[in-house]
Amino acid sequence: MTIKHKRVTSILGVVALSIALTVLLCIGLLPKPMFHGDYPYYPDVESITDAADVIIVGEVTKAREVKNLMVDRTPNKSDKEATPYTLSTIKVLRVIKGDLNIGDVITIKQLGDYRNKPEATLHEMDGYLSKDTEQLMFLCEYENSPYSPVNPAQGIIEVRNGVLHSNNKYSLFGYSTDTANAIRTDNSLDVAVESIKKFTD
Amino acid sequence: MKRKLSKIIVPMLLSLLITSMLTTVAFAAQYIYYGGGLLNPAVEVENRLSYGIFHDCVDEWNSTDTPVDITQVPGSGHSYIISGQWDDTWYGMYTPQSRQYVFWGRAGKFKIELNRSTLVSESDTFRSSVLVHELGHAFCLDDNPSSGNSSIMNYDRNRNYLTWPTSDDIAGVNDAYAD
Repeated sequence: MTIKHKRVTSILGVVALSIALTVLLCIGLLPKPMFHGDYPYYPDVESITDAADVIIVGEVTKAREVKNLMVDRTPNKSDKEATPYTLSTIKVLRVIKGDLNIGDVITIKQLGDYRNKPEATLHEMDGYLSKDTEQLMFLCEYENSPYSPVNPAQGIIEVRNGVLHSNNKYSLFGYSTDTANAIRTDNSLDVAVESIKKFTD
Repeated sequence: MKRKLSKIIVPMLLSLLITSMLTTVAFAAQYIYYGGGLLNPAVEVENRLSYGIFHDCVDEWNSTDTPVDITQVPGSGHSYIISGQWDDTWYGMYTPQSRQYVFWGRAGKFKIELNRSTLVSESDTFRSSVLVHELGHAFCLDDNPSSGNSSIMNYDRNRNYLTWPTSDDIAGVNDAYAD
């Protein structure tokens, strides 16, 4: 094999490797089947506080149980279908708004089967709840089904050592692009609770 | 030894460089591609809405300079748009059906649901914004393009005003259906 042939072979090898890596990367990014919801957006603390029936800080004691729930309440509809949800059990640690008490245990539903058919925003922000975490939650209450967060992007914010953390840029609390500033006073749970309480009376 | 190492490392670094260039080009667009949109933008749709917004919303898409062609059909078994009452907080929901490769890929048809429980006190303009947004998913647009441009796909759009696909949305659809 001549030097020229070796060079051509090397170049072809590099191009082939690049294409293979690109294909692998694209396959990794292939979307899963998803629900794409258009949810209410809350521009400020007052509007999200008004929208929530219940605002709590809770501990996730059980997480990621997938169930098909009948949430279709359309009257006179014969072909109602159940919807997959990911359920979590929450022990209430602090009540900011609503008719709950410390120590109560409630169930939260998050749209989609987190493994196979997730809701798009929850999938992108890794927003399905994990066991043994603490969360600030803005929830809507239903007579015949578990609580729902007011929306996936803004309704649940993780609390770590008294500081709020969110992966979503629309979150009103705890989102920071600057990791160094992640532990800031204005991201503390206590400051957030004070700002929410201004609108609960 | 050094030569042997450089023969391995240099091509690997070159490969990574070319790969990153290729993926940057693929994802640099302002609109965001959604892979669960329709395989064919000419689609037959059943109107099962209890709101009278279907035709205006379909016109908003059909009048764009894109391959989108929505035709209303009677019967069942097609894509459909329906309103109902669900115990959840969403206004609208897009679900791809009959996907190209069973679990992923473009959709053969879709279901769009509008939630009367959350839309009950909203105007038809607001509801139209939701439906035109959901139809955007059917034509391969994802939520929240990072451009900062006005887009029907943004969560924080003014739903009492924006009821049409913007230039950024139209560019995204044309890109998704380019030959």
